Amino acid sequence: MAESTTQLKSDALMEQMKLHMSTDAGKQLTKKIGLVYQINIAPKKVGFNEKSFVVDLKKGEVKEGTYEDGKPDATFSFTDEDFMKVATGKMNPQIAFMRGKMKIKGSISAAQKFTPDIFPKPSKM
Amino acid sequence: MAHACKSLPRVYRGTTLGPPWHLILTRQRMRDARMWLFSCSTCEVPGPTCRSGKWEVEPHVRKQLEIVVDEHKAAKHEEQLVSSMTERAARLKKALAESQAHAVGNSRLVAPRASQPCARPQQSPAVFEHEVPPPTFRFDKWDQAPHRYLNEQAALKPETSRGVYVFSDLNPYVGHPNPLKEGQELFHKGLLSEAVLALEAEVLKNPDNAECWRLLGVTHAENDDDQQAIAAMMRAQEVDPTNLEILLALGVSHTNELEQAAALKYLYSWLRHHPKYGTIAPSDQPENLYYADVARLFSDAAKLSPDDADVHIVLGVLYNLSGEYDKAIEAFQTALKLKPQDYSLWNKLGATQANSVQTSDAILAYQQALDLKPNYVRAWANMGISYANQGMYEDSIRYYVRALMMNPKADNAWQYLRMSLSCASRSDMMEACESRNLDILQKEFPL
Repeated sequence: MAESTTQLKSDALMEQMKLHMSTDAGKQLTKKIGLVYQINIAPKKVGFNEKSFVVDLKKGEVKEGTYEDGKPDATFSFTDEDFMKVATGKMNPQIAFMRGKMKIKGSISAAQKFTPDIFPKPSKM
Repeated sequence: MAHACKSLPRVYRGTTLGPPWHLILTRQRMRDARMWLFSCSTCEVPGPTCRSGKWEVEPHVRKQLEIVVDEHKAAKHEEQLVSSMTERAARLKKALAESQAHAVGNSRLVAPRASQPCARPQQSPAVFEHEVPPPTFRFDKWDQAPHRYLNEQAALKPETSRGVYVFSDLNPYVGHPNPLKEGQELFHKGLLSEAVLALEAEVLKNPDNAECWRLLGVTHAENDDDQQAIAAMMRAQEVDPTNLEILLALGVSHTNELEQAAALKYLYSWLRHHPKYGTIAPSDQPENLYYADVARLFSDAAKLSPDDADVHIVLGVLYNLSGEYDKAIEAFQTALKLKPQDYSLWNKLGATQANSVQTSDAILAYQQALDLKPNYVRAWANMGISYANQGMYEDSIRYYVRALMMNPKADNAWQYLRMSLSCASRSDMMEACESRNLDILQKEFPL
């Protein structure tokens, strides 16, 4: 399948997010936000070949796959590129939404707490 | 709306047709528009006078021109925003109305709840909360967005020119007799932004100078601009496709941009073109490179000659690519034993440690890199990132500002600075960040 061979840039970021959740800064996030987000990332076009991640800021976990214990507070759909732009602060989530680059399902007040600073920033070699 | 000059080409007159005014108002177009205005005979404004190589304009003309341009910009901008906001607002309102209607339906179903609160205490609230957007639903956050619209438009522009090298506008080194030597000197002194200009002048003169393109790429990488670094390195690689340093640098830059496939390709060709290890790699390059195969080849190479620092560096980069940070750190540490004076190696070690959340070690490694090369913008920016990831936003701002003082063009650092400012709730400094006013920022956040 095409899905398994194409490597998403977001994979790397989510890996880092997993590590980040175990640090003090990550634990503060769970206190500050305390919501569960599901993020669907598509390689090219939103809605096709999507890969889901659950960013659980209640328990402080990042997992692949859809959320199974009920409903996430908000679900976002992105393309890989746009997600990277939002997560690294190149694009504002509000503007991504206005332009239709980000699709939101669920509570809007939960979605408003979704800001780039929940993601760790990758350091460069 | 009054137009200053009828003979401006239609596209500059902000007509209703064509793209909105602010989209076409790039710097080049601005310049064109000015020239049009000045060279026009129907409106009686004096042309610009050229003094000491700088175009000077009568102040009142400039004022008039700016008013026209601003009016156009504001009008078009407003128009577009209003339309997009109303559309979005209408959609949201519709969704709100729908879900309220739905909720009303729900509450009718459980209507007795209102009159007999004790009868069904727990059943419906959960449903209720999920179906209706909470009453604290506000537009204010969304309303702020338009103000950032223009900045964002500017930020989005470079992506169209991906892989194409963008030269600086005004380059004082163009007429220099030996810009390459000058560039090398500046690079060694650590004046990276200046070195970029000198090296650009050289490659404009000799587009086939691979060494110069390479140095330009390295300079950009140290200046924390991977896009430009990749573009320059690709030009270098065109000229000299087997140069090992170029291939390694391309691999590193692509790793930084998280482009795994491209990075693998370059690291693999590094191995193939290496005089010592070329024999390990199978001669035919497969279509799809698998990470595991490449990693295995490199571990073979490392076993073959454990004293070659370069192999360990590549191995470290490779492990970074797959997220095996512990192995990567080990590889870089081995390389550092062989090459303790390599500042970029210290930074690589630091970045890897930072990515695997060993922040305190990372900061020590960056410190080493900065001791060896005080003007290493990338290491300063990385320091900022490390502090920000630990939640120490005030400290991170200081480091970002320091990095930006050395290279005001580092877009990544500006974005990170903005995020840190908002996290540290220093919205008072946000304006200085938006207008890229480093003087104010530096006074507020000295290191």
